[in-house]
Amino acid sequence: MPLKPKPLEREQDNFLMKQVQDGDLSKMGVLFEQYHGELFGYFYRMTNDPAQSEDLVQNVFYRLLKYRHSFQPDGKFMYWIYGVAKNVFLDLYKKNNPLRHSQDIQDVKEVSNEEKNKEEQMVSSERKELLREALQRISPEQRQAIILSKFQGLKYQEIAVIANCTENAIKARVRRGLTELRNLLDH
Amino acid sequence: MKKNITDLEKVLDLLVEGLENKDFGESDLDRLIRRHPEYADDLRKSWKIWRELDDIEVPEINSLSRERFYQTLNDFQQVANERMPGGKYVHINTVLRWAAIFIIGVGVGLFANSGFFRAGNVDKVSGNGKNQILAQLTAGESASNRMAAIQHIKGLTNPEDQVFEALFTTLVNDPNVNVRLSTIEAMLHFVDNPKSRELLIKAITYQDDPIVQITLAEVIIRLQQEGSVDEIRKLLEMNELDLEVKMHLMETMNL
Repeated sequence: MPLKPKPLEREQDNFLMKQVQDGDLSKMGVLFEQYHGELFGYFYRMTNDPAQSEDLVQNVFYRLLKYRHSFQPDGKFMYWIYGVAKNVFLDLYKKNNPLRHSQDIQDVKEVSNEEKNKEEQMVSSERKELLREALQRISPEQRQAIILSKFQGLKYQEIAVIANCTENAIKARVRRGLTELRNLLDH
Repeated sequence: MKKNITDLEKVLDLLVEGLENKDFGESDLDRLIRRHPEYADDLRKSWKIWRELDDIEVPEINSLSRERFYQTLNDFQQVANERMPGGKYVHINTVLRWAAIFIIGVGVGLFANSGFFRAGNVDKVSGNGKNQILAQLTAGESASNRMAAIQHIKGLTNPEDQVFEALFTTLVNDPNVNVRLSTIEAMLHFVDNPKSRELLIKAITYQDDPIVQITLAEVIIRLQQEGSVDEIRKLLEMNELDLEVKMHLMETMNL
């Protein structure tokens, strides 16, 4: 698993980004080295597709460079980069699923029955694969909340800033996400 | 016993709040279950899913990812440099530099291959006229007057050393880069004259403008003038020498 930046490094991110804004674009290289592995893990769990995840990472840094002047130095860089990551992912999701509502879990429930039959024959490794697939079937909002909390180590309040919603909404997404995963795997 | 959905959600919310803490473990789960034994199964299954998520392995990121990013970064840096106040100047400078080299290159090629200008030995300017032209070259107030004087000089047949010295003075001192470049062109016009070649080489160490530096350097390289390597070595030692010029010279001369 990619190493996460240490707290001190996170504190320096704003300063580095400010330098990027002021014209020293080379500092974006430092930020890339700190975040690209972490972002790749985030996108991989969101998409289950390594090549696509890599493209998404590139897309995030492209946007950070292109829109560098929109960064607010009084905000946290981490919120900004994950906010951009969220938008990059949602753009891809909308492109691939133009008619699908993000909260539409009907498909998930249908798959749930399908997965239910599979479960009878599954062994440990298969369960892992099923979990991987199930994670792709819950709504992107629920998936994002779970991944940012569990793997990126963010607090619900921090995720709420990134997702532009309340902390309680994030908790509800984690709860519903876990319930959906249970439905997909255990019923 | 039928479970109350609202209560179940409330209990699961307690679990979710606990999961925010990375140290949440089995003992915390057991404590929660003891408080809400009717939801033990739901809590255990949710907890199990949460832990099993750790089993999803993430592959190594492609090693080309870094290259792709730095290529993008380089593209942004180039655009940013061109937009900076000095950046555009540098870009235009580069274009002019290589344009100047092209012009000089063509000029040297013509001399080397045809001897055309020597064939046209027509003295178009009389003695008095020559003095007037030299005065116009060295003391002309406008750059266009000095350029016109240079064009007249190109019409001279077998000019005396005095003419080359005037051209050299202009090449070293004239504040206008275009005049200095035209002077180089004029001296190349008489490149079969040893005095002209000598002063062209000598002039290089006096130049502070990169365009003129590289143009002169290119002339010397193409003429393969004996002793020119020493002059170029002196040039390379100058702090004022433009980095691009320095690299070009070192590459071309294998220094």
